[in-house]
Amino acid sequence: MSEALAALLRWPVLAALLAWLGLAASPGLAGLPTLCGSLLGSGLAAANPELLLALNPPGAILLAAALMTAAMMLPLQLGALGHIANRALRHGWLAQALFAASFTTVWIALLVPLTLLAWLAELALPEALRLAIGLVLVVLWQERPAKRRALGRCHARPPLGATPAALLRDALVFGAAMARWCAQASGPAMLLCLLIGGLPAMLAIALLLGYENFVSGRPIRLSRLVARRWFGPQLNFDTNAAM
Amino acid sequence: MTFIRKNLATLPAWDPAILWYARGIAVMQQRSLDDPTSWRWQAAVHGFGPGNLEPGDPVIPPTAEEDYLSQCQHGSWYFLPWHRGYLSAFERIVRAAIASIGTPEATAAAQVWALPYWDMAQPAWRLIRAEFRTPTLPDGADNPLFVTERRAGFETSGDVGIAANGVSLDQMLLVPDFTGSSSGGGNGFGGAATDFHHNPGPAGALEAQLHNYIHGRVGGAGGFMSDFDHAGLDPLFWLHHCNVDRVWEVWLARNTAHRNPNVAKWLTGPVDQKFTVFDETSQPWPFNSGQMVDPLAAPLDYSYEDISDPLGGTATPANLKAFAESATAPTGLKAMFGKRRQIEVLGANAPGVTLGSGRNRANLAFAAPRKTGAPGLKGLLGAKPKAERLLLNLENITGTQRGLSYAVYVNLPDDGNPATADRHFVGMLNLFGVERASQPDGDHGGNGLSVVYDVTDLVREDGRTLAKAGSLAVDFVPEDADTPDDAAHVGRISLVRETA
Repeated sequence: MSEALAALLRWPVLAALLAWLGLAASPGLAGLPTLCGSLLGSGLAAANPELLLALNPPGAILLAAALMTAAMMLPLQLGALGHIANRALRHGWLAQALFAASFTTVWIALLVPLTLLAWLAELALPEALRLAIGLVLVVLWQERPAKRRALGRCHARPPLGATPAALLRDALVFGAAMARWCAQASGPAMLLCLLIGGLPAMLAIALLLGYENFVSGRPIRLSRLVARRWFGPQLNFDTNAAM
Repeated sequence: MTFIRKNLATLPAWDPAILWYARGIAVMQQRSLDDPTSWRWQAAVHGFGPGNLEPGDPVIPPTAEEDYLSQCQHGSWYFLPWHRGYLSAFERIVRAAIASIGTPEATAAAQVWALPYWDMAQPAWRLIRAEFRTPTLPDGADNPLFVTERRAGFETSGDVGIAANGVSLDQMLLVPDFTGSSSGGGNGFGGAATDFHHNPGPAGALEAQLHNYIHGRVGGAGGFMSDFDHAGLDPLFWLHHCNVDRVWEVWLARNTAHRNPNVAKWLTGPVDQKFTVFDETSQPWPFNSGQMVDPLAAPLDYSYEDISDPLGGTATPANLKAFAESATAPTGLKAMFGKRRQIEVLGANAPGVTLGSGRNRANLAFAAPRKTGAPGLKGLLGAKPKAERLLLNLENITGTQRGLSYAVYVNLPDDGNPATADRHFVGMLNLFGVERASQPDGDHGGNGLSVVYDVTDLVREDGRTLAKAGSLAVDFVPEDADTPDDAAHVGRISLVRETA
């Protein structure tokens, strides 16, 4: 147990915990958007885009996107950050910070359009339909080879420069690359998160993404779950076919 | 009943252990791919891809493929236990196949048959035996032990260029800890802690050295053994892995400080996907590492003819003792704040080096250690490390060519003296699996292979703890004269100091 507690003391986990606290407290914070929150789904906001923008100024959207990235995505980078820390001759902390900065920047740049997309869905589609579309999108994406490839790339650990300047440059590039592959692997899940709204959905999706990244290493696929549940591990193939 | 696995090299020509192995395989080869007791299914458990299919093969349902095929564990602390379970099920299947022949001789043979192991301790033993190079059995039937998909030239003398320093057990048997690190520290005897890991990665000493070397030497550039998906189609594969499994027993037996991991994650894992193979009754046989630690326990039921210590009881070097698995692990608050080990990168060469046909050199400057205290809180309170080792890390090794190996030297003088070269030899760099590990679309993003060598004695001056800056020259010398240019690339070379 103490080793598990020790793992929680790592800075990305602590940063994520703070971000979760920030998101949980967001309704009480002036100007914070209702990202993943219930207000987005209110009929009043959905019927009036100007009101929606007034409730969600760009700065607040950016802040929320940063919190969302820190809460859900930064813990997934424990391995990448450890890779940097364990290979730096000097300036390991700075290299990790640069990695986190470029990673977060790319993610924010991706989350903003996803947020707008979620808003448009709010405006145009009934709740049940947009959730169904989001869910189907995620289920289909999980089955795609491109998803598996992207998840594999999330485990890439490139060689890092030996000199301080090269290390810092490589950390920046590494962070951006990891954000790109991480976004490709989990973009639809993040869109679904925005469509559902609420911290429980965020938490559930974060846990599933964490399982994929740290335990399974392979996408969670509905087809596999169904096949195993309904057909059992052996399916129908005849184990004595040629005996 | 305990079956005795014997030394292949000391068996007479066409000893029953060899002859009945061939006949058992012949029975298995008659079975369809979708029969889990078939020869091809057994090979597919190790690795399976589109290249394994032949016209007319039955369809393997995707879920069955995911659950049972391409399961081999590499670059992982599950490498040894998974292969032990795999080998045991295979052995029982061969035994049942022999019994199924139905003659009194076959029935009697099946009562005692066990896999022989291919020990490499003596030069003559490193040749592929004649029984594996002969197209026919003594009775004139086709010989299933003979496959042509091996390193070119093996047919005539059985010589595939297995060198003494490629199969030397000296270094790996002195590795004190089973569990390795994937962060630059020692690679351990058994490999780094992972979950289910069907891909090359940071391998333990036994896997990275003896295991990978023989795969590459026997398979060459285009043979079965140097390819994950086809390795099990060479009957020598099973005998080689039998020897690898034996060396695990040798390591455990030679020093009471050598122990298997005693943590739930190793004993009962992996979390996501349990190990399951089919047994001789065509039933799934799930197993975990905890069930693999005692070869005498059912259903393993085997022991080795010889697990004596080839090092004659040579003690673990003093600088390594505190790294042993049996070293007292901190508990409670000490585990939270008192790290057992710490690493420090002393120097790195990040452009790395391209490996080609000639001698390839990379230079590396290193700084004096700064972390002079013990790991964790006790170091802050002034305690000194109990142990130190200096590790040469070769990381992000990529390439497309199979079957390559390079002798790696540190600070090798150009005097041309083989004895000098021996003193500066740090290990064989074996590129088994490099083509798979280099695929960007693979499960690990094309990280390539990683190898760690203990170079403590070559870097420290007069056996004392390293205190000064310096430099290293790392030479890579190809095993084969026909090694192509740009055969592989080592992305990063670093010198790491690990203390405990």
